[in-house]
Amino acid sequence: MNDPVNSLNSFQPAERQIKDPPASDHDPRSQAGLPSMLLGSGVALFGLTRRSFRGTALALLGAGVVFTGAWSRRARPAHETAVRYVLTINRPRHEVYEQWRRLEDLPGRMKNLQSVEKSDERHSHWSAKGLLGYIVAWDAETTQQEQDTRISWRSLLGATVPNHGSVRFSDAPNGRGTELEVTMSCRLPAGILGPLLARLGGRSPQSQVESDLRRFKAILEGGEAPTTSDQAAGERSLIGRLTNSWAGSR
Amino acid sequence: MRVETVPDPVIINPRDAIIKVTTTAICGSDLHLYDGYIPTMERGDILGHEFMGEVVEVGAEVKSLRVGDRVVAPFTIACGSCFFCRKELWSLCDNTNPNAKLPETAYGATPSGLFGYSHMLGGYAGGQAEYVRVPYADVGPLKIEDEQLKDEDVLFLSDIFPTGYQAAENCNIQPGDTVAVWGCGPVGQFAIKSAYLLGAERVIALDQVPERLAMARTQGKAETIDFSEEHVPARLREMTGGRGPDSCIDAVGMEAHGHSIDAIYDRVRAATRVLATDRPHALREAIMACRKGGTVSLAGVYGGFLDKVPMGAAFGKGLTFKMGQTHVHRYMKPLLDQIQDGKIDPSFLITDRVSLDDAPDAYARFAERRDGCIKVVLKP
Repeated sequence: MNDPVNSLNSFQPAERQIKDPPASDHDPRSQAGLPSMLLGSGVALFGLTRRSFRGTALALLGAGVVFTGAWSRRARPAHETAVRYVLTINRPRHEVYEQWRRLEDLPGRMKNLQSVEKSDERHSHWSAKGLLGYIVAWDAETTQQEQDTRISWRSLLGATVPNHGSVRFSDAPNGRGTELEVTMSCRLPAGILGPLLARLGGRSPQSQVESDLRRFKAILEGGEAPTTSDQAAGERSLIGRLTNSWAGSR
Repeated sequence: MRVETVPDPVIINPRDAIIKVTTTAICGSDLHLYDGYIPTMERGDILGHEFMGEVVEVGAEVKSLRVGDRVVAPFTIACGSCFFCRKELWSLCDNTNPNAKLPETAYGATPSGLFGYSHMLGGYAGGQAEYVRVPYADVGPLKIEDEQLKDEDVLFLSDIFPTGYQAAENCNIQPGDTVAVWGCGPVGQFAIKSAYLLGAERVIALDQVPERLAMARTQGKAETIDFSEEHVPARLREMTGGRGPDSCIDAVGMEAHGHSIDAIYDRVRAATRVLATDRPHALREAIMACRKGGTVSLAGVYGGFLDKVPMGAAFGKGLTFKMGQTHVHRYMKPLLDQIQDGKIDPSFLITDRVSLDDAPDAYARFAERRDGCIKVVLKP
């Protein structure tokens, strides 16, 4: 289930933190959406004063327009999808770090990641499951590597889903294992539709990273990832079969 | 609810085992599924989380079991190596729910996976079947080596005996304590016995089903209150010198019955399955009745948002709340010892013995508390 974006992508900590830059007054974006918000408010207020069925409908319509205006004002880089997930793994930091560096041994046991091939110390080739079973592949470069502490990566030119990110390793308090923080940013294809479709298909980059990280943790702690796929069941309903084929069995 | 023939389960992970089920049971918490109050059930799901049987296949990593071993499986699935398992909080295992995202969204974190108890809690096929796949089989199943013990003597180590026991243990019972138990279903009956095992002076049990109250008196040696006839908080106050019970166990959970205005309010909302899924009447009463500084111990299952829970009373009286799914692994061996020592015979509870094929009808009887049905045991 993942897109290239997948989880454990090439990891490397991004220097660019994936934070939405604040919209400033000089930013053309700061004006975007204002007209529709004003227009929408007007329509909504007018509708409210009618106190009729049509008035209510109008008010709702106006509210919708205000909403789209407000939505478009959310400052964000063009269709970048940001991913962030933190979890604690009950194993020593050095071990977690080393396992992460040897991720190529894990695919197959991860759900979304298909394969990782190292070409040299800094370069690797990745492939992951995308929406509707498409395989997404990319070359990645390790941009930063600090023993037992941090790895950053970015995809190289030609990636279907350009991405960069980093994973940070730190000690949990009092011997409780290792805190793992993954941040990533990726650009899904199809503009604004990409993230939407991925979400609908249950394959948003965030959820794919989360599920593979949980599996990574389960494998490190217990030697295997829990699963119920392929288990026997009674006859599923139509809806059950559809969601399984669309989003993949769990 | 129906019986279907499906393919036999197979080993999927190296720590799996396949068990040929010899005896299984319907749990009161299965009724929450049956009645449709637990979301993320799908057609085709196999229920059942109380089961035992014979190991017929083990995965490559399972060293502690061999084919032919006779085992009872805990209903909670635990990896044995995460932070929570290491602390013996087995039902909070980090790693056994493949659908962790759902509870992480709904609850903030995921509890362990469970057999046959909704996709939100793992979607594992359950044990009301001929064969069942047991994941992490090197951690969970308890071997029963004493051939004198019948299935019915040890089956309830899978859930309800440990669940009733944990509910009583959570009460931190002190000499002289009175423990009140809401609900005289299977878990309530074990909570009553466990409270005495742990040193309670008196146990007062509440229900409205005559056979269940009778069982609490004769088997459990509890005093009883029929809540359809008496005003519970007032009666409990009278029975405890005006103090209230030192601990109150809610062995009812989300589908409480009641006759007061709050219970009717719950019924209306829960009938929609949307406005509410939980009817916490028993919990409200337990909070109101409990003595100052006492403990309210929840063994009954809650799933969603509770309405009109008197937190002011709980705060004002400085109550302690203890709750959660049972850490079954923690209790199986010690409770097996209690059974072997003759301190308790769990089979007292069984009222119905039927074949797996008759399970749908048994579910209906159990759900309607019909024909004296208290505990159904199924034979595949």
